[in-house]
Amino acid sequence: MSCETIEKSLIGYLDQELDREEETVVRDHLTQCASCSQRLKEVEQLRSVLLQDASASDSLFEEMRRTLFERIRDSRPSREMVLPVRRRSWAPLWVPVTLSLMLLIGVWIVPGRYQEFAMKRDLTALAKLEEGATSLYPEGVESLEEESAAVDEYLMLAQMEGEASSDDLEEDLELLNALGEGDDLSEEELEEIEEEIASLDEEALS
Amino acid sequence: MELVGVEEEGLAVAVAVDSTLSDLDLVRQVQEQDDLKAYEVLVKRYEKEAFGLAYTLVGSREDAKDVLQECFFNLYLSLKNFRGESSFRTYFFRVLVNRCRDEQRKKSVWGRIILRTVPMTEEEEESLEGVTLKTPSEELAQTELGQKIEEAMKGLPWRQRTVFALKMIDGMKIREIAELTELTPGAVKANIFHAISKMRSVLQDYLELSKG
Ligand SMILES: [Zn+2]
Repeated sequence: MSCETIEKSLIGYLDQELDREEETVVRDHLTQCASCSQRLKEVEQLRSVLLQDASASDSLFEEMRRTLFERIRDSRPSREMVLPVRRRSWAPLWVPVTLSLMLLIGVWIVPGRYQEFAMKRDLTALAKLEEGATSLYPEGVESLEEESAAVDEYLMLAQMEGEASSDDLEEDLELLNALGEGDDLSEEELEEIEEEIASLDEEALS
Repeated sequence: MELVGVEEEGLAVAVAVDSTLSDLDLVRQVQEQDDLKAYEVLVKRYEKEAFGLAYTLVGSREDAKDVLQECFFNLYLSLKNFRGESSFRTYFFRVLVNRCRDEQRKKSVWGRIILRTVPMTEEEEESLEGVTLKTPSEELAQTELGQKIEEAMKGLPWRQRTVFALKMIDGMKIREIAELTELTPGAVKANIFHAISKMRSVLQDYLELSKG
């Protein structure tokens, strides 16, 4: 096997993540090839230099944690407030629409070529949300809880990335939970949701 | 100063936290009892790896510390929604990488305003993403080695820098990096290889010197 191929596997060899066959090939090559053995040493050395540079003193971590836990304690009273559940008739439409708009804002208003990676993720999340909304239809009401778990995971990510304030998300979650508790939706409400989703679909695809 | 386990109305934390608990068990304790001691164990478990990554990506200790603090704070706020369907570790690092990227973007926008440069091509933009503005105290704290590394890292496009740091600093498996960055394992490998080659050539003098 060529030295270049071996070189590409050196880091995997160091971290012991090659399969047995690959590992044998690399090990055998290293016993015969001085230049690859030297490369291996360099990679090891590079890592130790980087690790040395990227380490920090205990005091830095202590300081970070002090600020962190102060903020956390300050945040607690507002988190304990009980949020009122909204009028049911408004809730079903409000949830998917707000969440989808939130996503669309995240996806489309961000300028330039900012993070294809983030955009792709947002679109996936949008698709998930729409699935969640679809499950509000009578035949899918039982699976709402499952769907809302997926939505929750997204919400957590969105919140961590500052796409929405935590109050917004608290409310959204309250509403999703309220919906999960067997509220029936009227024909009109279902139609409204359907229309809204269809228009969001179009927008997202155009 | 008492950092954790502070007695608050209805939230007294009397039970010691077993530091051998799994991530998920700790997450549950925070979710169910708002147990700050459990959260502290979780923070301590990841802070060093996370700092290494953040520092390598944003290029300044002060910024890395802030990014870390922000990330752990938001994580605490949203933890009750975490269902454990994905690994906490992968999840945490994904969020951290995104935070670092945002931090870099802010910096380069600032840098561009100050330098009054014209809009750049994509390639120029990629290589300038790593440009950071340093405060005087940071400048003093920079070692020669640190400067060389920062310089070398700046030359790497963001994607390469990310996978390189996840591999070299955090020792993550290719499979895990692929999951986290949404790249294929092959692309991860190729990016790591290119980054190593570049870093090695930029840091060659230093590596040569420290050979003996
Ligand atoms: Zn060879």
